[in-house]
Amino acid sequence: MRQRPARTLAVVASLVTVATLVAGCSRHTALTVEADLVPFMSASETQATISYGTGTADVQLPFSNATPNPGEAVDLTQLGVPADAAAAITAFDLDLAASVTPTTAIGAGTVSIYLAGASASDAFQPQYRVAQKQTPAMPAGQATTVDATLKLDSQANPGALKRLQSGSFRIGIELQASAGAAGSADVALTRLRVSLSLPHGWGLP
Amino acid sequence: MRVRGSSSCITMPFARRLAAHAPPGPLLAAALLTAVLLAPAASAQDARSLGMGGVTVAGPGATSVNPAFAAVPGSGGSSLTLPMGALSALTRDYWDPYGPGFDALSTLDQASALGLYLLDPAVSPYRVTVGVDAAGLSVGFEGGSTMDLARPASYDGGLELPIGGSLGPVRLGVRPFATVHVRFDPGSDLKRVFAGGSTSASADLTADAEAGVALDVGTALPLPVPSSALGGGRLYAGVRASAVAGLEKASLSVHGTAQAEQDSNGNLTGNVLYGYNALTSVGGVLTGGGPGYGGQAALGFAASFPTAAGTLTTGVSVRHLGVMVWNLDQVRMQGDQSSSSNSDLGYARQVEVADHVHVAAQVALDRPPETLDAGGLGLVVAADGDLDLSGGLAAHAGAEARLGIFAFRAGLGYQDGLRLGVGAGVRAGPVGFDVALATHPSPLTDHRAFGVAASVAFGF
Repeated sequence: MRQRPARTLAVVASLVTVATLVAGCSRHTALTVEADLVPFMSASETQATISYGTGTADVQLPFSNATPNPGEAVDLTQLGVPADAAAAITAFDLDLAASVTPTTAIGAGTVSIYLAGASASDAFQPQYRVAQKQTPAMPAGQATTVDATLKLDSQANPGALKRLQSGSFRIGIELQASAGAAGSADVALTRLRVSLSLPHGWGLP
Repeated sequence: MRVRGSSSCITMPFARRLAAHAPPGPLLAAALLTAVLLAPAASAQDARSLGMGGVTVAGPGATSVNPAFAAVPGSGGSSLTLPMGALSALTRDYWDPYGPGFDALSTLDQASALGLYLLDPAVSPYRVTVGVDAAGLSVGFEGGSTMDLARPASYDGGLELPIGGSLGPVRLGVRPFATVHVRFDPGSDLKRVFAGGSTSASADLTADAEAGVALDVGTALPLPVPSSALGGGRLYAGVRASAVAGLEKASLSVHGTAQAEQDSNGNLTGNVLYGYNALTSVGGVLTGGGPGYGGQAALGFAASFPTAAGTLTTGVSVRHLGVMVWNLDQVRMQGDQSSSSNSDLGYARQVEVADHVHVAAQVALDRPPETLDAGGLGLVVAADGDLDLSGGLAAHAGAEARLGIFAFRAGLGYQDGLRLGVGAGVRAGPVGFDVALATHPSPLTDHRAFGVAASVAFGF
């Protein structure tokens, strides 16, 4: 899944260039880039079957054999975003949704998003949690939508925004719920939208 | 393609190429300042014309459009349009790229109308949103002037400073000139980018600019047609021939494409395939290749009829018939997402035949005050049409009411969009002063800016 977002951000970077060209440059013009990444991902990257046991299930994405889980390392500069653009980001939104179809009933739980510094060895520490949302109970054999949103700006979550602005960070998603019986769940990512905003007049001398 | 780290304004290869040929900075700055100050003065549309919707009033004052008008009885006079656009550079902060109010769209708008002080130039959007999703690429704008990037855009600028006089029936003159023509043609796929989304985009951009000096010789004579056969009117013919020395020329032609790559199942891969093919040509006295040379001709016919309502003057003309020869250094630049190349083709002779030929028609009814029953009210009603055979159509209609030393005007026209104008003037002996409030279609947008023009008129 590492190469696809890289290409996607290359597309975004291209569009940033085009948009700033066609819109002209002004001190009062702000730029927002919105991308729905799912169309750019293959089925193997958006669909998976996860096994779980009886009791509380704690699924951390991305999967990792390391303990603790360091999360997904992201380096924006390697994805085509110049360092000064990353440092200038004024707001970042993430909107994701997944369809979960378990073989046994799963109770209500939570989905959490973590954003840690690049040097963090455990991205799933509470201080790195930047968003959390209750998930509904998931009946056996039925598809249930689980979604979460993340909004970062200088007021909503300045610490996390600073980690994002550094251009190098770790991100992770954790799903916690309880199941009465062991089973498996088909998970399909249906929405992964990111939006980032650059300040007014970004790029002007 | 990556976003530049230092600036969001793109540095075009053509600009770099021009820079390599460019004369020293102070000389360039002086030339630019001179152009900014003189362009309004050399504009065909003075404040009187702008106040009448941009119309050319058929008669002796319009010999630059129709050489036959030189033989039509009456006084033409001349006018000097004040560089009101330059005034905005002193009073408005959107010109300064380092200032807090910099706005490239406002600057572009004002720069394309140097004879007007724009009161409300186009404003860049407050937010540009770039979208990437299954539909492809999309660009949206919020706030500011309504952007319209889905239609072809063009800019045609001209600067002429005719200096001359008459020697019997022959008119002689020297005419320094500079012209700029820019045209942007979005492909149909690029239009969809601004209308919801597209997986591909293409566009063509052409631009050329040249400067030189023309030596004009012309004459206009009444045709030997019995006045009785024309209801008391007279027919006139006029011709103007010009020897042209070209000082500098630069041109650019670019075709660019971008395509979001799709796999065999039609799914977007996230790769963007792009390509460009550009040809630049630069040459002249300062940049090598030597001066260009050529000739131009203008031909016109006019008729003037006395009517109960006043004097009716009409005319038709063809101008910019000619040929120019330049010796230009050409470079072809091609590239795509994986490679790029520049090929210096060296200097080559370029012959331009009948570039931007204009066919125009004019009509005006002049009702002097002394022919009226009462009130001392004079009236001029005029209309014109102008077809640029290289692309472009303009038409205007306007009226002027004269009351003593004062004149009041209004008109409308179509010239790169709808134009409206109102104005007023005052005459004192051989000198007059005209002002106009006129609309100006702002480039790249649907915006119509209002601007103030002012001219000093001489010898009526």
